[in-house]
Amino acid sequence: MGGVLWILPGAVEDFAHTEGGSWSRRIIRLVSSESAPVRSATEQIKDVEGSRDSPGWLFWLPLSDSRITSPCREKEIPAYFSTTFGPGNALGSITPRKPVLSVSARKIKDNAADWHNLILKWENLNDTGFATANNIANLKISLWSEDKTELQSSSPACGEKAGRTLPEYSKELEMLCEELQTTFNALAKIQTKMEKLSSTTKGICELENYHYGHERQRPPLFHTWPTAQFYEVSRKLSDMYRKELLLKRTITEELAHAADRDLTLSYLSMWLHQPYVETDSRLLLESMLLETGHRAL
Amino acid sequence: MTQDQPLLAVQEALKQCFPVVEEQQGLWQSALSDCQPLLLSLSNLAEQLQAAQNLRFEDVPPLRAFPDLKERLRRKQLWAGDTVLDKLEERLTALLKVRDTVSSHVERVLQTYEQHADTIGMDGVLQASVVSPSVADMLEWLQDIERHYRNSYLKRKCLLSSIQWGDLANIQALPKAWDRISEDEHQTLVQGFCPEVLLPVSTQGRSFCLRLKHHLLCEVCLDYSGRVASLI
Repeated sequence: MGGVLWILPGAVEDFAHTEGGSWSRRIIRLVSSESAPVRSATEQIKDVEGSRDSPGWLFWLPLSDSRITSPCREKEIPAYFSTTFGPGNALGSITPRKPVLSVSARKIKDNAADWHNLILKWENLNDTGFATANNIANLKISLWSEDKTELQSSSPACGEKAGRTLPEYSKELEMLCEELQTTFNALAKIQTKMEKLSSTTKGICELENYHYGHERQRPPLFHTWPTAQFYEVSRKLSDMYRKELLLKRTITEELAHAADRDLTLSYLSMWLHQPYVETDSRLLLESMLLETGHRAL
Repeated sequence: MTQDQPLLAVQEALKQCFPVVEEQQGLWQSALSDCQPLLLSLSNLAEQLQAAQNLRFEDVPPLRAFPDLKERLRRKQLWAGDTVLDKLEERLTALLKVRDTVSSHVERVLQTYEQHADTIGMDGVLQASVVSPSVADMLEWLQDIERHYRNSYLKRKCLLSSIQWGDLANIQALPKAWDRISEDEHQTLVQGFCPEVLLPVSTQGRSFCLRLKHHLLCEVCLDYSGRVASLI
């Protein structure tokens, strides 16, 4: 046997994260420094899998190994076969113990977790905002009833006993309105992140469309959902929260100026019950978490 | 003393029944206290529904950008209301379970009494002492307790059955109506029942005390000790 077989790592096809570490899946080329044929372990693999140009030249290689980016001797890198070759390959190499997700599936799975976290944060902010809005409403209602008391009684003593002065009310109202605005701004940030999730999912769908072309038969990333369904769900959720944010903006701007009790109570109710977040939003989220494996089947 | 056996059998049945009643009373109170905040929620929702009904959305310029808002809001409010109603239904089921459990245990005691009534005789049934009320008294209390749960459950069920989203004023009045049932019951019990009585009855040296709240039933304290064993 003469010469040294060099492994030249090519472009990364995929990433995977398993218990054993991080792996990159890439095409490798084998180059011999000698013209004579080299019967290395890798050459044996080649014989088993076909020509060099065949898809068989995809291997899992350790990502953490800094030598991966430069040509190195075959013996210096433990090469692990892709799971598609199975344990019965020529070298008997180790295959990853757990099924690994493709890049797209990993991204979709992470997105599902992000959706869950964002919706949870939204709900917490909704509660905080409601408490503030409630205080604003109570302040307004107590202002109205004090005005009524003063109108009904002509006694100046009654006015003194009425509690706080108008400037004190105004100051407190202003403070509460600023608080509500802060909460609204935080909600807006969350909604922006939701749009981004939706957009990322769309990107993954488009990538898949590019890869498969007109082919209709596409294996699901997880259990049963076609990839497009993840985008549909993301889009639906995103739209709900976008519309809800528009309503919340109106409430934030108008609550302190509401002219009567019915309008004030209605604004409060709108904030609390979130009319544009459909009742099936929870179901959509849970089904996505189930599909991506965040919830046990 | 074999002629005392029938009387002992009835007393034993009573001894077993009162702890059950005590336990069920705890469950009843717990279910009742869970209902109050739910009724308040419903009342608040009714107020919100009323406010939205009174409001002319089209006359509020900032809301004109949301043409379907009124209907959407109502749908969400009713959905929230139905969720509260489901929880109330669960509490009502718990009250029903208490009623049925007490009824079945009291029924068992009465059956035991009926089996031995002739043997015990009127004197035995009516005999009371400083340490123990008569069997007749205890049976009467159990029947009163059973009737109380039956009536209370019926009144509360009737009140909750009257809930209709078309009658918002009625829903807003629910918390007060619910409290009125409890207040009326308290009045009836204070007028109708006997004052506090100490009833020591032996049960293998274990001390057991049944204290039923005065505003629901008279305070009946059963102190199981070795004292009655020496009397029987």
